[in-house]
Amino acid sequence: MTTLNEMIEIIRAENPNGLRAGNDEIGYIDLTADEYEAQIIQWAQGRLNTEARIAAAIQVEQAKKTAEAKLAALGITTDDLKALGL
Amino acid sequence: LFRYGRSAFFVADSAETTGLKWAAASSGALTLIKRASFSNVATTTTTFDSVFTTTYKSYLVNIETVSAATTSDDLQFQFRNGTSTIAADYYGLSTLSQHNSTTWTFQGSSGATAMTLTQNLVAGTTLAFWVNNVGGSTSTASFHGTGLAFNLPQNIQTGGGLYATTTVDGILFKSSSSNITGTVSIYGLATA
Repeated sequence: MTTLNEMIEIIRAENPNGLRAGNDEIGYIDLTADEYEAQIIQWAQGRLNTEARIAAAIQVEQAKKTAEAKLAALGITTDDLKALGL
Repeated sequence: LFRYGRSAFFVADSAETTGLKWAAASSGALTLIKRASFSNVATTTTTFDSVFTTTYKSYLVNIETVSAATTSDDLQFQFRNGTSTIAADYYGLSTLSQHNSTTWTFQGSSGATAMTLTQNLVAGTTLAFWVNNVGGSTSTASFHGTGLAFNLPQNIQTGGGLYATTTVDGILFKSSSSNITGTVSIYGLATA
């Protein structure tokens, strides 16, 4: 599991030349050093949240496959469970 | 619809027994307020400031296209009040379904610092949503809409609001952990 500090360094490495805001019409401005640091920390937390969500989804899927394998070993299908109202 | 020079016309119902009757086309109920493109930005910051006013009661936010540098990112928005970004009290839910799965993914925002519209911000993502209770006196802003992450493909349904009574006159877009690129148009809906 990646720590917050490790993720901050990963995202900092992805954006070595700073960050910017704006649009094509009025142009772009570079974020200040403080704004850059605040944004990197916010993004690091966001990416950790995404990683946790993906890991949880994988865990659910694996648990489902394990349960299906156990049922198959007993000769029970998911249709049998539906027939029982489960 | 018929265009002649700089004027547009449409065929109207007519009592004429022969020939065609032409009438000037309506100016339309939706009025473009702001359209902007942005490339590799951390946020759109002030780009969509002052778009919500007392002129309209409902606004259509059309995200024509948007993508993130990290495609597993979420697309988020925050309302703006003057030069301040509102970073609390977002409640809502986005439901996502992909073409190869019968499973729904639920992405909730509960008292969040930003509203999450969708996950997996791949190229070709597009969304349109209505925004109400903004632009006037203090109120509780709300939104609802649909979208598509074309490159997955993934359908998106979303809705929610800002559960705080405040004035909202702008909106800001960002992703959960990287730069975004896209084009957004905002329209006002006439009531008459």
